[in-house]
Amino acid sequence: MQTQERKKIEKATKIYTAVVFFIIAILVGRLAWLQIWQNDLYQSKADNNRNRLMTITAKRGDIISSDGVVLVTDRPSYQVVLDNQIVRGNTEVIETLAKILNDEKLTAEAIQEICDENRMRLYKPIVLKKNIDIETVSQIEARRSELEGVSIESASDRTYLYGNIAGHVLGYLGEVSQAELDAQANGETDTNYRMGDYVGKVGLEKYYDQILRGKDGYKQVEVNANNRPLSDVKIVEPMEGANLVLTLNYELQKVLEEALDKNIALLKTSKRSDKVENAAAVVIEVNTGAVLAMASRPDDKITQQNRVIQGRYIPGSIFKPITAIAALETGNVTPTEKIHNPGRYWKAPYIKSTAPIGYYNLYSAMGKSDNVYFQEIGRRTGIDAIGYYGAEFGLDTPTGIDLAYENRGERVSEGLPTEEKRQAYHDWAGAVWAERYDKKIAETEEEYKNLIAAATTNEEKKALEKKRKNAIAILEADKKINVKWNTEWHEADTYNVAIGQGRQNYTPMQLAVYIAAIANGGTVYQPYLVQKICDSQGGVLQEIKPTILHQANVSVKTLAEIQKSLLAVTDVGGTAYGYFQSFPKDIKVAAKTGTAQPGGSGYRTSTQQYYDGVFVAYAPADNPQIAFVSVVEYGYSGAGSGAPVCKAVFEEYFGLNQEGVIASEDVFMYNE
Amino acid sequence: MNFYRKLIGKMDFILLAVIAVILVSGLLILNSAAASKEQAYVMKQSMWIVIGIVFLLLTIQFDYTILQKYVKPLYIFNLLLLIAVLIFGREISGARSWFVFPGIGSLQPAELAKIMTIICFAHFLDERRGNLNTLWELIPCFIFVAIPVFLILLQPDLGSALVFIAILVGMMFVAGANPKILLTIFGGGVSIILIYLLGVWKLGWWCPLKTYQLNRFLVLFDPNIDPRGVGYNVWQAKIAIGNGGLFGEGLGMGSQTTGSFLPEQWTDFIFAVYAEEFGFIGAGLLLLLFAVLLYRGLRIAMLSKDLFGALIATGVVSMYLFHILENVGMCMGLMPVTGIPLPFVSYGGSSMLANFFGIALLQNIYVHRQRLIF
Repeated sequence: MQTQERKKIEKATKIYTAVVFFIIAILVGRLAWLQIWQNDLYQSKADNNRNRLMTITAKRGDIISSDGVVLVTDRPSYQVVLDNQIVRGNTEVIETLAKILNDEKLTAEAIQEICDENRMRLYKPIVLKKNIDIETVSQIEARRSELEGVSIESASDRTYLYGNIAGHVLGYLGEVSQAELDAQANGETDTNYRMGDYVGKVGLEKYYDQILRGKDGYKQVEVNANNRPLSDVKIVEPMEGANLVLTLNYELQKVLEEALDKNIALLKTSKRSDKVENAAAVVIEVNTGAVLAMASRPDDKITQQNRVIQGRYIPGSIFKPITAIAALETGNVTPTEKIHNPGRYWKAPYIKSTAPIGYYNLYSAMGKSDNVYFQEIGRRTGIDAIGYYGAEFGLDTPTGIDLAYENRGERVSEGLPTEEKRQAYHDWAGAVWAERYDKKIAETEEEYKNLIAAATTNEEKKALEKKRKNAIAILEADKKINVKWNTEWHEADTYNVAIGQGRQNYTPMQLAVYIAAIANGGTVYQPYLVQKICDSQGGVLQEIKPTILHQANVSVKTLAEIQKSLLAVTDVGGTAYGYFQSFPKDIKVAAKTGTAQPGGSGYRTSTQQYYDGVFVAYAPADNPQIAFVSVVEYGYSGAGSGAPVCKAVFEEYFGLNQEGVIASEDVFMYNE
Repeated sequence: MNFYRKLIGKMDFILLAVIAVILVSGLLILNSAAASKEQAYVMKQSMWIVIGIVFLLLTIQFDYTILQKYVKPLYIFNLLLLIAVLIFGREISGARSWFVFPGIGSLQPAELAKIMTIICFAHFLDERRGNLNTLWELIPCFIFVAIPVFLILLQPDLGSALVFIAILVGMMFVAGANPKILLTIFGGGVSIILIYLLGVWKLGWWCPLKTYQLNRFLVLFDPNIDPRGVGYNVWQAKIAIGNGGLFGEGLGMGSQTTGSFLPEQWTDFIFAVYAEEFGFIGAGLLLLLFAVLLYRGLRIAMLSKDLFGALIATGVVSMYLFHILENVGMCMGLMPVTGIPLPFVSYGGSSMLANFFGIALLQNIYVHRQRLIF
């Protein structure tokens, strides 16, 4: 090689060497950046990669009746879980799995569809089937190698051990909704739900969800890229949920539900109550407010409402004690004053009385539910006093029972017609009527405008203009009359309210609290269903004491008169006479029947009029312990729809249905 | 025998020592990267290393200049091999790049084609020395290399094809080709491609590549692209490297490696394993050793007794350099993702053989730099 060429090569290789060192320097620099400056960042990324937090679901607490019967528990179960990253599109795995599951809802196509639906969240495991039997578990385990991406996870299954018994009280679970998650995110609720959690939706399961659910535990697991666990790093054990011990008595509940169903079936056979479907009944302790039994019908679907706390009903004659209390307290009547019943009230709208024509004092009027007597004392007393005493017995406020979704009666058409409520209603009604007429007036104007525009001659136009003025004037006058009428309280309204009809409605739970307060001397208790919260070993975490909401401002004397008058209802000639005849003398039953006439369209057909039957009672009359309330929609009469159920419940509670007692009862009846 | 011993004694021992250290550390890392695999990766790799050493020792006695006599048949053989693999090769992950001999192993002709092309192209350039000044004179050189490149692109194997371009540029530069034209063509080419890719990415320009192929380039601009495909690979490699820190997690202790988060960790992404387990100290040293290797190669080019030897040495260095830049750069998110192995470290027989052929050539050129006295 010539020297000149060698020099050229030397120069080129030197430049090349510089390029080499430059490139290597860039690589080393980048390496140093990643490994030294960004080491912390990538170290945590690597930790995130290999560490998986797995939830260990806490066992949800049991719900136990006051007589020690476990009504709801968590049972261990197994579920099939799919890793969608592996399973989706893998027809062999899906077909094998479908064959093992042998479920017509989970065919290979159906599973494929589920995988496809979840393709946007491939990393999220799919719970394909819950609660699989142990045989299926072992089949899947045995063929594990063919079922890549399919795994069996343990879970727990909420089990309602006695089917529908107390179903409305217990409630049910469901997957947490977006609305619930949003409320939590906004700080509106004090929950710690995560997506996919099962949470209480209604009833006790919802109200006590935070207590029942406990606290989930965690397992930190080291995994590889395929999510296969390599080792456990750390375990935080879950905290089991607490158990609820109810005030509700299983035996009494069973008797209540059976008697209610039996009576509904019986009512359906009668033509005047053949539409019976919906009913509510509740039994509470008079001196504590503890709920001993509660039933709502129908109960064939979990989503049906609990009518005891969610239904609002016109009380009918059940309300008459309030009218009487108001009249007695304000001195507008004495218990012995007699008022004549000529068949219907002598003031408009001349409401009929079903009681025989004659003179009535407080006791006989209550016993026979004479409408004239109560309209008259209501008229004397006035609506303000009636509203005041209704509120004294808790009819203007929600009961505050420990169940979710109690109807609070906040709409203008709901609740007790107190002064405030009447004003709210009148404001609303006035606006509605004004709007209705304004619309009519505008329509009329429009109509005439078109007519006048279409008219050909001047005379025609003048005639139309005159007609228009007339029509508008009539409408304006009508508007004035109707707005006035609907924004004023009328005497007739008072008469209606005095006998328990008209614009008022209450939940059966409110009625129970009211009737218990009459029985116990005026104490309004907050009804409650849970008496104790216990840990899983049975240790008591919290004991719930009765809560007094209010002491009614009513004299002992007045209450004694009312109690005495209610006894007349079950006595000879009373509206519930005969039902409790067989009870021993020391267990007398005080009661009131009611027949409500809701304005609903279903209540009047071409051939007949339907009514709701309302029944309240407490016993023993001289030492009250429990109170009963039932409402049967389309039940026709208060006594017929409620008294047989009440009788069964009282018999169970007082032990009157035991064989020995029945024998003596037979003797007693025979003697009579 | 005495003569042979003399030849051995004249070899570049610094180069040999550097390669020995890279090989040993590479085997340790391979052992850890392939821990989850049942195959005897380390044994097979060691076998290829032994074959490479034997080849080196057997060929050292023949002066490389005799290769000049065989360049024509070698070039044709090279092309036939590349055509044959397109017809008889086995398609693996979408590319027809391998001959598979059941029970023996597989052969990747593109790896050997690099060495054969270097030898033939060195002779081609040697004959045109002094006549590489105009574009017109350079075009035949491009065509000479473009033919094997075209065949490799048919497989398709873009990574290997790029290696040929690096070899072409390196060799032509040392051969004295007009550096202005070289810089214009290749500097301009790289710039145009970058601008075009940006256009495809941001403005949705038309592109003949399939999305997954395109993403291998676009991941340079946006590491979050295709997070379940190529983006995932690069991301995991970066995590592994970053996780290594200064001192590394220790051999067999890298969580990214043992948890199989790293894809292709015994071949394309082995540098990430190296960096995770040996840390910056280990991986930085590896890059320095590569720098020394390349420097010694260029020194051999400079010391070569003729232009033919100098060009072969440059070609071999260019081949190594591009492999290192591309492989290490890809792991760190600096280069597009193309599956080419890291010299002497990645698992693979064909690549190891090709690398040893390169070393054999370098040592041969070094040993025979002066006429030996018999």
